[in-house]
Amino acid sequence: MLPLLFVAFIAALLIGFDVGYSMILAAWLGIRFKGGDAVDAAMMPLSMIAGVDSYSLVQVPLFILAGELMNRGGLTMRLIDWSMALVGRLKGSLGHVSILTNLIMAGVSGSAVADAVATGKPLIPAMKKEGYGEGFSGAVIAAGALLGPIIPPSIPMVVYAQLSSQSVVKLFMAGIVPGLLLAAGFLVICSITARLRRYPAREPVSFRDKVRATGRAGWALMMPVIIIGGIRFGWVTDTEAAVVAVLYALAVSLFIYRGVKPGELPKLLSQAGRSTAVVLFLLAAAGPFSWLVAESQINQTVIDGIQAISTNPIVVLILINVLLLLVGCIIEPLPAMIIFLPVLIPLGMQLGIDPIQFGAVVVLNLMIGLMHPPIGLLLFVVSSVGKVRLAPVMWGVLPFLGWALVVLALTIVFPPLTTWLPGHLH
Amino acid sequence: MLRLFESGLGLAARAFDWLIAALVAALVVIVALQFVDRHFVDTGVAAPDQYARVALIWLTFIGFALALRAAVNIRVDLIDARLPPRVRNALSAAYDAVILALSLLLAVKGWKLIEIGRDQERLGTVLTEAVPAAALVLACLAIVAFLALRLALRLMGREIPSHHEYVD
Repeated sequence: MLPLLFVAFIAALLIGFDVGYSMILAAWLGIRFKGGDAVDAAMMPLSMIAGVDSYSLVQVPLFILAGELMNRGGLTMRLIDWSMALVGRLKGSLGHVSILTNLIMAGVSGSAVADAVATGKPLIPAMKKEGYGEGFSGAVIAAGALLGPIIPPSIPMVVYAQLSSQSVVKLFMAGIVPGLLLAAGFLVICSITARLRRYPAREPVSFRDKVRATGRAGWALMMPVIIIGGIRFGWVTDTEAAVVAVLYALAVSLFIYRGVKPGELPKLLSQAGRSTAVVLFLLAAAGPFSWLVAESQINQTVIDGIQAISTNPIVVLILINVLLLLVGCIIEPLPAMIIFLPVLIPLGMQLGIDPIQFGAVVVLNLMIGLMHPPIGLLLFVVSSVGKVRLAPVMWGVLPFLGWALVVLALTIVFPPLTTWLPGHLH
Repeated sequence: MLRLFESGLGLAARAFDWLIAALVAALVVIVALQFVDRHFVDTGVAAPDQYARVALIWLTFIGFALALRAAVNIRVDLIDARLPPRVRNALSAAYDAVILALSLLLAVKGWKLIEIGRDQERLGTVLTEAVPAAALVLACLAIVAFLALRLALRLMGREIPSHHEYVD
């Protein structure tokens, strides 16, 4: 009976019922129809509260707020100007600018959607104006924004850490090498596309102007240095890094770049609060749902099924990744993580897969889902923000998607790509 | 009567919006104080992490009630978006009814937690375990009220407002 409820839950999801309440409904039905000793339904609110009663989750609203402040405060525009001065002379430079800006922004914001909106608004119209084609213009923004949740800080990594009881800091560090590999490959794809399609180059910028642009963007450029450096060298904890990011972004936005007025702060706080609540409610709802997963022994069924195919950790990781890529075609990354990780984490542990590598691979995989058709959220975001048609963006994103899959395969086959940096933490 | 209910809920939503803005601000202050306490001077605040956790619980549940009211909660609209408007509306009404019933159940069961939690201190704080439970109950009751209004408006054939506004 209980495994059937799991199927009913997936059906409820697919017909568009709220993801969190689908989990709560499945758990309640499980309590009602469970044989043996009765379970008090008070377990549901109790486990919902416990699901978000964690200090490490405090960084979620803080990093969201830091990202909001950065975008509203003019830090993003300074980064775009700086990237333009640095790589503007390259053919198809706006593509490089997009990747470079997103790479720096990824070191502050943990949200791909926020990054896509912030860079897409000014850059997609500029690219269209220079004749880049709407497919490439939208695709390069989507690809750049993908770096947001991979390079620390990363909200999905925080959620994974919560679900698997792993160190957030180690997971943050595990994302750096794959993130840099992604960015490097994306830059190469931009160069090749620009050459093939003969995209224009901009006028070279003098050394003095480059220094000037760097000076103007200096405050924005310092942010990822402070956050990642602070965490890496143990000056701040992950949660403290989030508050440092907020206070820094607030000070720069209010007093230096003056992009935010004090009167706008309640609105920004409220927006960050709502965005946080939508994410964290899923973790709350995962509390009763975890009971159903454990009670129905669905995780053991999945573990047995996968182990019947192979017990080789790499083969199992490949199987899990194929499964998650398919899941990513219909469910957004965070809900997918919350639904499937209670099943997959025990499997990884049973096979001796490093939990940090497993976390980095899972997050990378599900984030790739943000840009693969048919429901890649980033594709819809760039299409709406940049007013470009969806179909050309879906075609344009394919080379970037291909490289992202190569990086995913590399992180599966070479564990040091994700475990080396966390192993050198102070 | 319905108009009065509608404006009352509008005021409640506005108060909730201010509350979540205040909670995010409180989180910034609490974590900043903890940072100062660890690196510079003793602020004398006991168990700031516990206060931050309680604030986060309130933020999660109250914020979600507002998100549900504004229909920005997470759902998979793969099939839903392809349905004819009439079927989609009927499904939306059915979803609202199920969520309303589940929220009522959670509020009733959550009340039990408040009663039990009243006598349990939260470690190192002046709060009891009833405080986090109260967040869930209040949010569930708000969801019940928001969805009851939405269902009533649907029944009367009136347009459902989008409620995307934030505090000014």
